[in-house]
Amino acid sequence: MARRLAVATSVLALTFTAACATSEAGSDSKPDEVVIGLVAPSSGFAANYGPEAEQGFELALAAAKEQAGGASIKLVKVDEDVLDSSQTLERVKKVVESDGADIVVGPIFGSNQQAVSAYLTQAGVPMFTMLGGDETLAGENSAFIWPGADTLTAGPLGTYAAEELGYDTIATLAPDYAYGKNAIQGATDAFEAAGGSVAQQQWVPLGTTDMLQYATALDKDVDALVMWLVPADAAAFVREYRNLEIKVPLLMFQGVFDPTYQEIGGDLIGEIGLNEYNHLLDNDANAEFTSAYEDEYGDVPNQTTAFAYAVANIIITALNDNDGDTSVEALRGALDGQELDTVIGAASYDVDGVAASGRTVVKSVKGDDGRFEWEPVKTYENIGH
Amino acid sequence: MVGVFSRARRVAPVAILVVAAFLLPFLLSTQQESLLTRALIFGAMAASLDLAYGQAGLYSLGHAALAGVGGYTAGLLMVRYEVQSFWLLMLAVAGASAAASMAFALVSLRAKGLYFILVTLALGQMVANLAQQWDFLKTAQAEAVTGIVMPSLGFATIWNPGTVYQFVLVVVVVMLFTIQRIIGSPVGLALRGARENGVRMSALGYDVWRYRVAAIVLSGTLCGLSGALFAFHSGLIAPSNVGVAASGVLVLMAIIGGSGTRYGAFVGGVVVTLLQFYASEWSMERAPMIVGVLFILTALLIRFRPAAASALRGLLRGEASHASA
Amino acid sequence: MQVVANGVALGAVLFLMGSGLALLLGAMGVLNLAHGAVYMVGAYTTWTLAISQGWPLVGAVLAAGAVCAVLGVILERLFRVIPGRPNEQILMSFGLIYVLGNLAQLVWGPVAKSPFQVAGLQGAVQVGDVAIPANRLAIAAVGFAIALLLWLVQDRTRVGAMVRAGMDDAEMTRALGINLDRVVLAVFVLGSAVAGIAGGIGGLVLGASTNQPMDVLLLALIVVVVGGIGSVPGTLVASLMIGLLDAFSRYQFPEMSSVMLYLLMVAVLVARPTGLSGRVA
Repeated sequence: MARRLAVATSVLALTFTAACATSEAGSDSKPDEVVIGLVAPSSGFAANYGPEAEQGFELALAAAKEQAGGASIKLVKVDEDVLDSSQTLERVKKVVESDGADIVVGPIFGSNQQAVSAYLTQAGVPMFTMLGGDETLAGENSAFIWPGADTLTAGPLGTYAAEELGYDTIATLAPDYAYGKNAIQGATDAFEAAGGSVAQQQWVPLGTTDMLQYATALDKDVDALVMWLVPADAAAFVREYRNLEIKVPLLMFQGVFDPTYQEIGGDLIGEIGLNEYNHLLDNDANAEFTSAYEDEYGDVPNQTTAFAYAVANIIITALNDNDGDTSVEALRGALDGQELDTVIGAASYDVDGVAASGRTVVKSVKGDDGRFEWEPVKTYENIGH
Repeated sequence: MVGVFSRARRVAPVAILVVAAFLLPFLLSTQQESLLTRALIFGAMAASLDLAYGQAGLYSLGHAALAGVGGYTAGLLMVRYEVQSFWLLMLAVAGASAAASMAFALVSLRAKGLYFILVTLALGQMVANLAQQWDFLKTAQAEAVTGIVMPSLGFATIWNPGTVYQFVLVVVVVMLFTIQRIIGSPVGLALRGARENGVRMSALGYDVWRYRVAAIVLSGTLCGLSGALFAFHSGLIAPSNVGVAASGVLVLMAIIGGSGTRYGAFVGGVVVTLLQFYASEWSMERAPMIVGVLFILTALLIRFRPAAASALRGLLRGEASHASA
Repeated sequence: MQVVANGVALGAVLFLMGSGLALLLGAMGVLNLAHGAVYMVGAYTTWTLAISQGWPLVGAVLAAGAVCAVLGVILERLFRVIPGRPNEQILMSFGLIYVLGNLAQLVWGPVAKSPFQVAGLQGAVQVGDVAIPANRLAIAAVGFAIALLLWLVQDRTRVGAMVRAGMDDAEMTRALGINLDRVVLAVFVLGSAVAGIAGGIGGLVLGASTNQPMDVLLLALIVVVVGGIGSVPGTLVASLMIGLLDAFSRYQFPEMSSVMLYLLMVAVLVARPTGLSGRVA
């Protein structure tokens, strides 16, 4: 009896291992193929990022006929787990080791970038961020940060507040985690460098649902409130702000993204923002992109789609320059100092792989067609490294 | 003679499975090894939880926090204080998670029934929020402790996904063996007695409260050790690995595998970890739906599990017979 | 003073979240952790009707309550299969949280809906130097109305008496010939309807999002634990206490305010293991 049971279990174990072993076959990519893993969330509260990034990437690949540096390009989507970074890491391991990804684009969230950076650096796989990132992930590590380092990207907001608007004191409001603190630091550093002073800083803990207290606790004597919150929280905050009839002008890093902006735009007319991307930007690359997007999806693109498109084009440019070499050194070499023509105008990467690009001060207006827009007011060049 | 034979009958399949599992790396890709390592770790964590949850009937929704104490202790010692020795780290982890479990037990055991569940949930979420807010528990620019690597064992070791898997397998087998010994011991019997009928156990002269504290401390310490393994393997530990959602998943693992049974929770941990991964491979957008529907179906069908399990056992032993009438 | 007003305003929202759950948890040991998911369905339904279709808010919120009442019937059917089995109930709850959250993403898209803007509920009421937004007053009014209603149902009606009897001693109640299954069904319908209404009216400040099943569940649990299971006045007192504590701690030590909430929950339970005014579970 014991033997029979033992035989049964070992047979089971063997079929299991055999089943696992077969799935390994054909995992290596062909030499003339560059596999790119696109890591962005497809489920959970940020599930819009994944499909949006994919749209942008596909548009760029289609325009390049899926070719770069003599190799064909294959895109593999990876789900970014927004809550559990260790889950994201396992999936990134899979796309690198089993799908043979040579380049990883993403993840979106800082926590996940931190989680996969060490692994990707050790594996020698370049990681191209699409929506910012901490500069420590570049340099020694394998990341290429787009569109600029988190601690610098919001700088022009501070500069504009001090130099163009003549403000002396500001308050700040942002979430109590790394990206929020870094972005605000960029704005306050620039503001203080231009002679202003920061009177009050409020940090919203993760998981806060009620924004009322942050509106009431605002120091009403400041000249402006510099803020960055995710769209849903920004909307909740702005609603309370208007209900309380607070008159302190807002300086919103990133403004508020669609579709949330279209819901609350009426409460924001006249307020100032700072965009990394804006679909109204007047340059050839953006015109080409927005019309391609319009043809395909019949709408205006948002920042995630635009930056996925931009990063895809940057990777294609770099691969064309170095005959399809996907190593971190080769890509750094190809991109270092090169003037790139992107959807946000001229941009470049430094030797550490951190980008610098244009930022646009914008103003909230209502267009003739009833759409709320962030209208470009002034552009600052070469921000990010 | 009969005793030896029946013992061999019990041990043999387990031994064969362990050996087969140990040899698996020769057949797997490095990524599958990594995924299986993760599955083993969560299996061990769920089995540790089940010592309190299934054996002692202490429905805790806060055990991920105890695993987190282990993970954070190991991670911080390694990243901030450059302790590299596996043995030292595990010693510190055991101490820290035992102390944390003791505090956890002393507070939570004041409540009973539904309230006990809710207190454990609150304690767990409190730890998660602390990890979210307290800068000491974050390294570099992360919201987590990052930069954790596999520790050194003191003799020559070259870590690659295969050896990591084999090492974790050995540790997990030792932990499971410990858990089995506890379950089989008089303490285990007393825990089950207290689960079934605390009043009667008290009448029999058992100090039920002490046994319950012991159950939580033992299970919490083992959870902490699994949490350290998790941190070594993932290279990080974050507030989301500590909070109520993580605790909930641990409980789900134990329940799905069969809470209160010998290997159920471990199997559940392995299965759910693989399910989480492959559900996302099947459909990124609908993965939560797939997992959720499976949970609901399991909840509705789980009462047939004993019948299914005994039918399976009968089949394996060749005892399934049409001649039962 | 503004802090007190903020705390009371938050307390009203918390009461709405917690009151349905307090009722459900009291219902003969049913551990329905999918309460936050029902709240979310109420919030999204209200968004569709009031914002997208332009219904008046009152009608939309009531309709959301009705939709959630139907959802409550379905939930009761599912939970009836596994009575008195906390393991299966936890498993079922989490399954429902995943499924309903993902369904909402499918139907309403992944981007959260902003707080509902409704004509007539903008601006704030100024009392001295304290400002209270009008939508908070609406929420508080609905909250107290529901509190009164639930209290009347529980303390003054036959069904309420049956519920209380069932909570105290299910066996004895059954022996008296009372159909407890019907009572549980009634509690599920009522609790879910309240959750739906809470989601709808709470949407005035919180909008609707797929995070709500978990977020709302946690807040509701704190309220219920502090207030005691199955007690309307206890839930009300607990909501206000927690709202005030949260407002003060954000004001005094903003970094640790989220830890404070759970500390309060633990402290209350250690001092009074059945909550401020609860029954033995």
